[in-house]
Amino acid sequence: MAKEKAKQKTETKTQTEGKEWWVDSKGKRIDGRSVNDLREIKIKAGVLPNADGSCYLEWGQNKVLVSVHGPRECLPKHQANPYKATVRYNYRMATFSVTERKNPRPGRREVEISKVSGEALERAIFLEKFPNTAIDIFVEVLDANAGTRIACLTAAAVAVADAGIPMRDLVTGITVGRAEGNPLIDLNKHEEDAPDAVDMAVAFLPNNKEVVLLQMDGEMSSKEFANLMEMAAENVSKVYELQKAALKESVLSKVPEQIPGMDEVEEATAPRSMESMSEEEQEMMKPRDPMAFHGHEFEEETTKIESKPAKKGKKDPKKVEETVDEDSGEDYSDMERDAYDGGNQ
Amino acid sequence: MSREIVIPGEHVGSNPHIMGQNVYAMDGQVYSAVMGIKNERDNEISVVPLNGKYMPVENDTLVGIIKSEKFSGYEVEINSFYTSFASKKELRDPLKVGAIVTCKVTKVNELNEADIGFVRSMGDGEIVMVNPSRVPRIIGKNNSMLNVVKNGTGANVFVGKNGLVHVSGGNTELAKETLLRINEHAHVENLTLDTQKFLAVKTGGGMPSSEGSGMDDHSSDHNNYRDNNYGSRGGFGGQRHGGFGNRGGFGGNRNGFGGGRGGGFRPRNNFRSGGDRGFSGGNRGFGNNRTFGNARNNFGNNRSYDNDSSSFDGGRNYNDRGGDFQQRPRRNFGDNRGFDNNRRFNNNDSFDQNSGFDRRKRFPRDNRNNANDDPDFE
Repeated sequence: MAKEKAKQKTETKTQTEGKEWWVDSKGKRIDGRSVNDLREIKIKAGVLPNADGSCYLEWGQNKVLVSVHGPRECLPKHQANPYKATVRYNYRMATFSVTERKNPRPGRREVEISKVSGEALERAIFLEKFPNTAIDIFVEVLDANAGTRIACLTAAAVAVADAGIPMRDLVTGITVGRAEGNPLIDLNKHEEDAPDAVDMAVAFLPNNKEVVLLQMDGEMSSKEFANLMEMAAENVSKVYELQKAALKESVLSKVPEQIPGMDEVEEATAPRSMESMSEEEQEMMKPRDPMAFHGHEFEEETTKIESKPAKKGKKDPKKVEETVDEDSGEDYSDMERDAYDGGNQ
Repeated sequence: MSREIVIPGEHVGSNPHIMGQNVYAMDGQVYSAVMGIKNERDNEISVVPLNGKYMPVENDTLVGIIKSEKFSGYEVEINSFYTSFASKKELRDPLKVGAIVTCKVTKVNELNEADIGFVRSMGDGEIVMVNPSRVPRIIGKNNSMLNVVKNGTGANVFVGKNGLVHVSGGNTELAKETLLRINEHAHVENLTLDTQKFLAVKTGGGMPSSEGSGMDDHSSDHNNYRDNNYGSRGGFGGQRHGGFGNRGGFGGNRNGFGGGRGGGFRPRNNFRSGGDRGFSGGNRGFGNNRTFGNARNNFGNNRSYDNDSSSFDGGRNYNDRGGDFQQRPRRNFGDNRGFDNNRRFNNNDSFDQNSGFDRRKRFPRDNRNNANDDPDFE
């Protein structure tokens, strides 16, 4: 990190003769981005098999890992709320995530971020559906470079969605700010340390742009503030699209592995249709009447047992054609919970 | 309609009047509440979730694992928010920690705590944990997917609605692997066909059919479960036969036909109606053992020998002939005769043809049924 900074400084020295700068005349920043550009973001959902939901997110140099457990029984019991679920957001930074070793003990900053981010998610989750439970969100920052709380919140929303917890909307965050008088999107560490820097973290519910988190560090006029809020609302949709893509990708990327031999198997061994079988075989193939009684012989006068027409499973011979293809995408009712009566018939 | 994956907050429709599960309305538009698959039909918009904890619903059949033993019962892990409690009084046999049981949700309260009943041990086997939201896909339409797994591996598979699956017998390892594969790819189209091919290659056999035999499968018995579990014993010469389920069955309670009898036992006619309706079964005839207000006596067969009617609130027996109510133990060990098994006088006469009237009174000096030798006759 320090090496990188030094490298950048030597590069820019040619431009401004040793003075630190933030945005040059062409609108380019230190790392080559324009004023309205986000850092590179990569999101992957469902990375931890032991958690109910999880997400790994990279935002520029930031690397964040989130795991969600819940809703589960809320212990200690005095923290349980009988009307809704309790969101327990735990923001922690790994000791190696910053240049100078970070003390693992959570300080005031961690506690504050945890509180504020947890409340942001509470606004999005349908808490009343799970009274008396806790939703535990563990956020670990593995590499930090400005804007971690927003990166974490964005990742946490993806993880909660991955866990199948009902939400009104995802929570998407973005940092905006000012450095050397220039309003910027997504400040990095260097820009945060500018003399007149203002750093603002905003998080929205993207559908109706409802603000669920807003924190600012610095001093600015209300006009600048309004301008920055506008910029944030415009650019947050870029992040939202990435979140959406990551969630869908986590499902769609799961394709059943085709082991060798699967393609040829179909023709060779398809179950025969009823017509191709002889009379006798057809007789045998018919599901037996469960009410019919057989196997025990009685002495005289055993009344003939009339068999009822077979109930389940007996299909018209004409209808049985090929192997089952009932789920060719037509109707997803087979996934519905109530479509099954017990199920194991 | 293809399967569209939606995320929470994604717009799925514009008619809030036809909302189904896992969606919510805002400003006249309908949005998804979970990550899942959009299911849009003419009369309903809903989303089928791909993930999520099991929410207990009344009458669900579950598979549970005994987590610990308490003084008066067991703590059962059902893969939900809380564990459930199974009382020892309701159980027939003691259970061990780690045992796999099947149970039914009897009640769910507002905190989603589930009361369970009808706890039965499942015996040997292994547990596979799948996603509860994907259980319908694992079962498949008309049990097609489940049958493919069963037929392809020869294993017994019982899927609990809470996502715990009990697998035993056959090629258990392959069955587990297949179930996990289905669970992971539940959203994929034509998964049944894919599973058939997968099993065909893995077992080296043919493609397993998706038809079930319907016969040996007792896993649905819980659906028709009645309180009287004793109906599952007896039957013809032993355990349940075929798909009778746990109703009274033909053998009725306990002894049944085959048990301890030899030949020469003639079952009453009309099995069908007897088995179906229990008490008011087909073996009515006239003057058969009819008792009123006495549930025990007539399940399926109107047996006469095991009806100790005196043990139930008087145990009234209505004698067809005489029309009077009396109270006596029945002693008819023989067949279900067609008329008047409950006679007012000494029942020991039912064995022979001299029934119908009291020999002793009629022929006092007859030595055939010597009253002195008869321990029952006072």
